[in-house]
Amino acid sequence: MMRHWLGALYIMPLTVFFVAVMVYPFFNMVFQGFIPSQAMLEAGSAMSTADGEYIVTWDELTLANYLSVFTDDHIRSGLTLSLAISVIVSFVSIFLCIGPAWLLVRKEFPGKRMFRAILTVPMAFSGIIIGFLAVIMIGRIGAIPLITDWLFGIPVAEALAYSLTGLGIAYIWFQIPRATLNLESAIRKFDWDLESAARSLGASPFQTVRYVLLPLLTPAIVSTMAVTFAVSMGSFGVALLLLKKATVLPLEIYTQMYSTLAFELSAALSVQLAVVTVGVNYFLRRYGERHYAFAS
Amino acid sequence: MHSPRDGQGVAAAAAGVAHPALGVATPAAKTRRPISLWLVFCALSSLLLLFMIIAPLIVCLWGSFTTLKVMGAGSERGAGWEQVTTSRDEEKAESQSAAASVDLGVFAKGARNIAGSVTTFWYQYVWEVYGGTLHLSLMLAVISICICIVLGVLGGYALVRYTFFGKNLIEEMILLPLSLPGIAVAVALIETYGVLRGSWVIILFGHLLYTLPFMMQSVTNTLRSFDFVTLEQAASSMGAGPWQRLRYILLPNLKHAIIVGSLLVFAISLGEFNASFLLNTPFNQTFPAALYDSYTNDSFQVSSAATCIFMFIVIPALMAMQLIGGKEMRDIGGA
Repeated sequence: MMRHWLGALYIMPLTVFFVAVMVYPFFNMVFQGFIPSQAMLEAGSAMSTADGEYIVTWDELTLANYLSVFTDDHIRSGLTLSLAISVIVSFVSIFLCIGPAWLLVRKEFPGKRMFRAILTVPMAFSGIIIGFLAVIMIGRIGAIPLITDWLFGIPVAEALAYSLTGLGIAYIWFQIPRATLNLESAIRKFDWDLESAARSLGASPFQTVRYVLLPLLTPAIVSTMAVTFAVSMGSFGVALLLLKKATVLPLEIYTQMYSTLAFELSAALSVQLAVVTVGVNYFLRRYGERHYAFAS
Repeated sequence: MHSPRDGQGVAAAAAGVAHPALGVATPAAKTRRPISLWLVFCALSSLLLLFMIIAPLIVCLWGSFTTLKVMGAGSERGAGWEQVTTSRDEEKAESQSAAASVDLGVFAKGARNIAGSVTTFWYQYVWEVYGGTLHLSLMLAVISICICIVLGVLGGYALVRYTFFGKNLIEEMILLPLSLPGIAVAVALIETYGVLRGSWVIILFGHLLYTLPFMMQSVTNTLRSFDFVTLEQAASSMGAGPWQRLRYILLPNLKHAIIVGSLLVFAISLGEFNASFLLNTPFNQTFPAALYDSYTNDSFQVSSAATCIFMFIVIPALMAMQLIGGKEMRDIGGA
């Protein structure tokens, strides 16, 4: 570790890029959120020039856009649904993915690399593709209803894709690689001697799980949840394709931007979405890291 | 239920070989291990996940070739149908003016008259209508890879090798996009760089923001996995110049990480939708945005074909990454 000016020089292009494309636009967006929305401007007494540029004076800046997440029922329901589905999907995907992750770390079996490769496939699939796959599998004339109807005479899971359950299933789909890979790398760091020590000291399987494995697993689960929660909160394509009446926060931002043309409101909502997501992610990640101390 | 139980002995033996520290249980203890229920759970959830991933892809693949109308009719009123027919008509007119007769194939007959149960008509349709967007997406992916390699290697090297003011902050900032919602980035970019709207540069910004962290992780994980700093200092003390150190130490060690990172960047850039959907304009459309158009306008078969084209490009890249990817892949867990 030496010659710090050289390191600063090498990192400079990257820093400039991130500041220009992420940090500065974000603070600009925070400011935009304080400007009254166009609709409010028209109703109020704001001046507008001939070419549609608004001149906003300092005392016209308002908190209304930021408060609309509490005052507007539709937006509030979007936030609630986003939070609820992100939390539930995080738990379910961890429950489903902990088995495969454990197999990948602890067992050798033929086709292991292939198994791992298949589990990684949803990684690059964007939300809309997953929405489409949900529609063709569990939509109104999806494959599963058609096949079960043909086999047993009862269409199973018909039009499930358009319900909240279907939305959850689609969300779980794209969490599979994230949850599996994160859990796998976390489980790999375990000190497995502790488990065999507990067993050789006479702990029952239940005691081993309760007092050794669960405390070891908790940080792994928490740090995985940091990722899955953030990705679910930000996901937008699935809801765009599947949701008809209900809304999630990213979808609401899109609607405000392109249907209502309320740029300032969508800026405020984006800021809130980003702050909630990054904040929760940060605290979960820190918690996971802090408690890794005794695992490995 | 039987296969996991039967396989347990073999698997446990294999685990014993792989992890000598814990696999040295006696055979008696092995048969008593009441972990079989857990193994059954693992196997069942693995099978469920495999089904969840593979089944839709198979249905999609089938749908892209089929002429069966069981899951929705193959319409002749898709978004770009006129485009297809007129462009073919023009071709026809041109060729007729050149006094040559050309076989129009399926396009002349239209979707309704396709004979047989399997057709590649949907692929031709997608190619004709959405080919340009695929071209733009591939171009963006390649540019992203090039910029990511340069910035990622430079930045990763600086982060591992040197200490400087604000290093932790910069590292956090580079990893921030992993948890930042794409749509928030898109809104911020549009409201800040509205001037650039309509050029693909702003889409490239969005893509780079979401691909750079992966390249950085790949590079820094590799450089931190061995004592790179000492190696480089040794080379430096023996008189190797910056160029020699780059050529003979940094790049050979990073070759693997760069390949894996590039494949990941390629896959993510090609599939990026959250940020780039808002940054798109009709004249600069990326392939995922075209897929959205296809899903809302076209028939099931055409949409399937479009999705399959995407899968044919992305899945081999992901598979290759998994097959050649070693240690650094394991630690890239992020979004």
